[in-house]
Amino acid sequence: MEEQFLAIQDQSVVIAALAYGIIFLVLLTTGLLLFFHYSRRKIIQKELEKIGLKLTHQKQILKATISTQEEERRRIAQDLHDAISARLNVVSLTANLMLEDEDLNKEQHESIEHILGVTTTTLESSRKIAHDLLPPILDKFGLKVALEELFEDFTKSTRLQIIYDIDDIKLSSKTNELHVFRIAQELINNATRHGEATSMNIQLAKNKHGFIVTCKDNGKGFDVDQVTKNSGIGLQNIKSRASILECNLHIESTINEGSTFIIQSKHHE
Amino acid sequence: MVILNDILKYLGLTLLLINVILFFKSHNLFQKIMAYRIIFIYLLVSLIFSLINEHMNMKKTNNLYLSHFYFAFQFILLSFFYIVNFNRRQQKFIKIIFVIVLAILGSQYILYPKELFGFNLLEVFITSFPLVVYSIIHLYNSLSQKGQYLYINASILIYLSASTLIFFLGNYLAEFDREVVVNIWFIHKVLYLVFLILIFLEWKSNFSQYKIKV
Repeated sequence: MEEQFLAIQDQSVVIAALAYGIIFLVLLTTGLLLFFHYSRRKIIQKELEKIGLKLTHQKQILKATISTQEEERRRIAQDLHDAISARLNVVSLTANLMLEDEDLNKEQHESIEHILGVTTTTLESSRKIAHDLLPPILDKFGLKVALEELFEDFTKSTRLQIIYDIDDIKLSSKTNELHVFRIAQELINNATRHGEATSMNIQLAKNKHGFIVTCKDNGKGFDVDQVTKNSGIGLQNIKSRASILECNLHIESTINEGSTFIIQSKHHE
Repeated sequence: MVILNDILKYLGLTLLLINVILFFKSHNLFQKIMAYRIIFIYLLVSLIFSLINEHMNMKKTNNLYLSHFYFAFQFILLSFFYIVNFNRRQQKFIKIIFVIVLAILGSQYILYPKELFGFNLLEVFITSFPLVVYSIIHLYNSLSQKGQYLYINASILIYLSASTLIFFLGNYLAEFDREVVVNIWFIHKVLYLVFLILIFLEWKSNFSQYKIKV
């Protein structure tokens, strides 16, 4: 009887050891799981930070590229004006003076008139190129007038009809106004070149966080997913400028039913 | 304690059945996701084993030799589960271990058929330890990749490592007084419940959403 009791007591010791062994193992494996779980979280967080840094860096590069581009445009426009237009004006004045000379025979007279004609058209083209490079009206009269002029120009010179409604919005800088102007320009270019649109509806309005541009056309439309994945230079340009303006770009399009672009200031907290 | 033990046993069986049913509900994944297929088969066979076990228990026949089939089947299926989720180098490692383990088991039973009628310690060790190692490798993989099947992996790691320890002493415990051993089987059943709950969570987080999408 006593022997049996002792045996059972022995067994209890083994069982207790085993029970603690099991609990120990469970805690150990749980600890291991928690260790991996938190390491994983930490690694993911670090990766996210890295990606964030990379994105900011890319954005800075884009911003620099675009501002360099604008600066170059401004410089070329200025040079066109100073170096070419001014001198052509001298040529045209001289030609005019020469025409007043009564000793000229008919042939000479015709040649000088020809020179005068060529100079005038060249002057006109150089003025137009400079104007396209940097619309002087934007500097002098602001975004609203510049956009109105742009839309009127397009409506007059192409078969595209633009209906617009523009609020007089105040942007923080001239550069930002130029970005909005360029976006509008690019949108119209895309609609005529790729979409073959015949009518467009453009709105620029104030909203709570800044402004909103809505641009709707009746062109061919496109597959948004595919175009967003590998966008051309035009769309890329719009995207970068929108990102510089801290705006969201939203695109909707159905094939054969036109497309809608919405550019809207991001909500700042 | 004995009554509580019985309750836990039937709770485990019910949960296993629920898991099988839930996995069966997402059967449209059967063709699509290999890991799902393996887990589903694993649960189904586990249920069949449990029912046979229960039946034999009632008839009071010796059911220990069933355990050999259970360990072998568990090892084979879970090895496949990890093969599907590992990279090429790790897959090679699993395949080598797989062949070695099956070779050892086969030759042992041919040479010593007597071993079939008790807990075979070598068998418990070589069929469980590799799986624990795989689950740790899987955790390591999840650090750098998108972590998949982490619940199932956790359940395998916790349950297998603890239950292996119990089975090591299986032969010894079989000779013990039933009243004393009941505590150990109690812990084992709690662990098995945790195992099943984690598999249920896996189904909920991973497979149940698929059902809505498809």
